[in-house]
Amino acid sequence: MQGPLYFGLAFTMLILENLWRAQWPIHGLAPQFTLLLVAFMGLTEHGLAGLFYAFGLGIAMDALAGTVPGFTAVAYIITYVFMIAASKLFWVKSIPFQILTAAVMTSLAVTSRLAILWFYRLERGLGPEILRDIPWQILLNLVAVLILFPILIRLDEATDPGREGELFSSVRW
Amino acid sequence: MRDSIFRYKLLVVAVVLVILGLHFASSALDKGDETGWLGRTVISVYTPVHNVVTWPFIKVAALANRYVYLIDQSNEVEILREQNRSLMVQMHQYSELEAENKRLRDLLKFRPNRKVEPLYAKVIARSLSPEVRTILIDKGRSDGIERNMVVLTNAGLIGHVSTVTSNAAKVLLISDANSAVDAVVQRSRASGILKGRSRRTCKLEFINRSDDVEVGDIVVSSGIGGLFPGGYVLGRVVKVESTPTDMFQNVEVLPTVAFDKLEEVALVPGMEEASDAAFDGKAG
Repeated sequence: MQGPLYFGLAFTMLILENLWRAQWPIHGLAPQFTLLLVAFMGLTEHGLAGLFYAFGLGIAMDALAGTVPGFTAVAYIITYVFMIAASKLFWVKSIPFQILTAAVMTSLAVTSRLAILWFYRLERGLGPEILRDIPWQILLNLVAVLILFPILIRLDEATDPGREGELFSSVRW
Repeated sequence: MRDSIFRYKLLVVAVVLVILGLHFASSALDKGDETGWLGRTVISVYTPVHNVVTWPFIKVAALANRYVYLIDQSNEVEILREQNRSLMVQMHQYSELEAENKRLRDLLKFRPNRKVEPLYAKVIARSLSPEVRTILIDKGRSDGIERNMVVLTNAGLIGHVSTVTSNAAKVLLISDANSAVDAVVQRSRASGILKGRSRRTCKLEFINRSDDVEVGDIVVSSGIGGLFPGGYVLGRVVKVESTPTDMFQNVEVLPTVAFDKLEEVALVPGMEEASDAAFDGKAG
């Protein structure tokens, strides 16, 4: 996919996530569309540009969510790098892998956040509160992954047809 | 070879960005400005686009809500008529009290608070993490919003404006761990500090063991502390614990406002601004 298309997608995900959380929160949560996009970029792009997108999206989420600037950005960069590594082993079109992706990246993002909170000693006793939300967040992200990833894969194939073989041929699982 | 150099470069850039992210976090925490210039820029750029894009969705949602509301309305009309009758009686009683209050104020030569016309704003985003309780509203400096303005709904006090940009503002909710409001128990006048915990309930701290507090008591702002005006409902006591060894009681308060369902809020100047304006002769 081309950079401007990713920029448009990033802004769309940002609005969708914020709109969902403001209008239709489920247990106070919403699918993490921006995190899904970062994961998809990690799985398919592997490039430096994706890193900057992950960082920028994280900073934007921090600003809009009221979290300390940098917290989400760091979590997204860790997710992006992890997804590059995962793409060497798994096939992005595999549904079991997409389910695994939703679970792992949600847990990874939450763990990174917990690690940062612990590092900065911001508020004691928040760990159980954050951990309690993980199953719901995984479930929401799982549904979002199963809907969003096929759309993103089709978009990727449609906008850059030559890349399909290059990206998806090294099937390991 | 080229691939391994690229991978090495990617990791170096990733590490640099992680360090940069942690640097932003550290400097924001050091300065006590949890939004930072970068965050304010993002909010300024994002808010106008968000307002335009989400307008049709919000209108459709409002229409759907309106339809559901109309269905429920017929039952509510009867209930409201009954309430109206009882409120009319109460209103006459309050008129008497107001007249008495005025007489007493005159007696004490007490200057009444200026009438403040509230500003209204829509909630456009909520805190995305459980450890931070904030909302983003669609009005900013250009609409007359200032830092430390008090944010309310008809259900009670919500919090105060912590960050303002030209077209949006961030509100720190009373349930946030960084929030503290001087409060009193309405029934017994036991006073304490309502401290947010970034959880569903807040904690009413410094309530002496001898103070009279019961589950169900209403907690209101005391007006002490320089920011929040007194008399605004904060929440209801849901838990009271006292042990013989502790100096203070453990009191938990459930805010009356459902923060996850907020759509519109009202803003009034904080006590500092109000008193400054009165001092400068700007008060009405």
